[in-house]
Amino acid sequence: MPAVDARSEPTSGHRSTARRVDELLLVAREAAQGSAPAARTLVLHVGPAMLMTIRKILGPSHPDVDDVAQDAVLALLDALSTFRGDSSVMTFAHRVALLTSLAARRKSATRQKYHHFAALELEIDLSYSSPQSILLAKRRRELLLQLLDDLPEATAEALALHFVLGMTVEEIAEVACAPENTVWSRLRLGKQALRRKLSTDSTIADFLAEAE
Amino acid sequence: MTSDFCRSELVLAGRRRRLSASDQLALQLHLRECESCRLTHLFGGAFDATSQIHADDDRRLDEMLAASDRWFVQPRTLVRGNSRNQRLKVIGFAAVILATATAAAAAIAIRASESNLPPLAVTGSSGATQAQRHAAGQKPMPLGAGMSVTTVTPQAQPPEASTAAATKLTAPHVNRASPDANNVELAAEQLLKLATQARRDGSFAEASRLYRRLQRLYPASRETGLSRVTYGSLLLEQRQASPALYQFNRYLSTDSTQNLAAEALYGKARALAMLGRSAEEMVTWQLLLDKFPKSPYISNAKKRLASTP
Repeated sequence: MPAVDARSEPTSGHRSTARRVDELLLVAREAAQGSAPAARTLVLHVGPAMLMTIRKILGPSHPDVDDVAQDAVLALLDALSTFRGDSSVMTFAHRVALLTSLAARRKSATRQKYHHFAALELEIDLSYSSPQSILLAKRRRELLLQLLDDLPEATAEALALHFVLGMTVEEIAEVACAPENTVWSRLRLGKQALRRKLSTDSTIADFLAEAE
Repeated sequence: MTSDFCRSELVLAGRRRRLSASDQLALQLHLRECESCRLTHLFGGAFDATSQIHADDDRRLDEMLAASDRWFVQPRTLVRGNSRNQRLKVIGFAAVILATATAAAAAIAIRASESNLPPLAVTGSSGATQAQRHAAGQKPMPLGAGMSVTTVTPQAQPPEASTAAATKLTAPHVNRASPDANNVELAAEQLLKLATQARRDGSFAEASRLYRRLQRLYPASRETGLSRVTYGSLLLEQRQASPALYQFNRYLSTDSTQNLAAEALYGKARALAMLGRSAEEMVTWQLLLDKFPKSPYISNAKKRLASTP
C-alpha cells in the first residue's frame, strides 16, 4: 500500500505538497501578526478549500453559502492568533469552515430552509455509475447532515471531520486539540447514533446497501 | 495512519484515491466484514462527490478577500466556545472581578464596624455580600475606583429597618457582564446615531468604523439591521461594490422586519451592476418591480430592464 501522509490534506481534493503547507504556515504567522497582505494571500490559498467544505455542509446552491463563507474567513482570522501549528494551516481552515457551516445549520430558524435546499441539491459526479447511485449518495448526505444537527457539538464535529472531510483520527485529534482516545470515543458514539437513526426508519434501509 | 482494531486507513486512503490495485481489493474484502468501515465508506463517500469548483467560486472568493480586508480595518474579537485558552481568560477575568468586589465589601464592612455606622447593603456580581453598620448618619462611604453608591432613603425601608440606611454598592464593570436589554439597545442606538452623523459629515472612515463596530457588537439588534442598508449605500458611494453587496444581501436574508427591503434590493441591483453581473442584476430589478411596484426606484428598474436586450 502506498504511503499516506497523515499530515497531508484531508481529502483527495485538498492534496498539496509539504512545501506548500510550510509556506502557508509562514503566511498564517504573518497574518496573525497583523499583515493584511499576508491575510489576503492566505485567504486566496485556503478560500477555495473552505468554500468546498461549506458547500458540502450547506449544499452547493444554498443562498447562505456566500455569507457563511465570509463568516468563516472572519472566524479564521480571529482564530489565527490561537493557532499553534499542531495541524496544517489548510486542515485548520477546513475545520473553521466546517464549524462555521455546522453552526449555521444548527440555527433552528433556518433549519427547515436548509432541508428544503438540501432536497433541491443535485450533485452529479461522473464517478457514479447510475442515477440510483447519485440519489442514494444525496440521501446519505442529507441523513448524515440531519444527524449532525442533533448530535452534541463535540461528537458532531468529530463525525463531520471524519465523514465529510475524510480526516483520520490522528488528524482530528491534532486539529481539535483532543486526545486520540477521546476522538475514537466520539466517533464511536456518532456511529452508534447513525446506526440508531438508520434502524428507526425502514424506508432508509437501502442507505446501507451498496448501490454500485 | 490509523491502525487500531480495523483497517479503516484503507477506507480513508480509498477516499483520497491513493490505493493500489491490490489495496483496492483488500478494501473490498475488508468492507464485507467491517460494518463500521462500511458506514464510513458509504456515508463519507457520498460527500466526496461534491464538486471541487463551482461556477460562483471566483465571486465568492472575491467576497472572502473583501471580508479579510474588512477584518483588518476593524478586527473582531470573538470568544469562541471551543477555545480553552480564551475560556480560561474569561474565567480568570471573572475571578479577578469577584475577588475585587469581595475585598471591597470586606473593607467596607470593617470600616463600618469600626466607625459604628448604620447597616450597609452591598451588592456585587454575586449579589450575596452584605455589610452591616450601625445607624448613625447617611454620609456616603469612601469608595474604591470604579465603584458607585446608591443611597436608599430611610422612608423606603420597612418599619423594622427604618433606623438603618441601606446603600447599594455596585461595580459598573460587573454589571456590564450581564447587561439588560435596554442597555444593549441604547448602546446600539447610540452607535447608529454616531455612524449616521459621521456619514452626514462626510467622514467615510469614521462612519465605516462605527457601522462595523455596531454590527460586530450587536449583530442581532434592530439597529444593525438598519445599518446594513445605510452602510451598504455608503460603500456603494465609495465604489466598493463587493462589500456593499454583502451588506444588502445580509439585510435581505436576516432582517426580520424587511422594512427597508426595497432600498436593499435597489442597492443590491446597483452593486451587481457595478460588478458587471448583469444577469443577477436583472433578476434583482425584476424582483424589485414585482415586490414593490409603488417604490420610488421603479423608474430605475424599468430603465435598466429596458436597456438590456
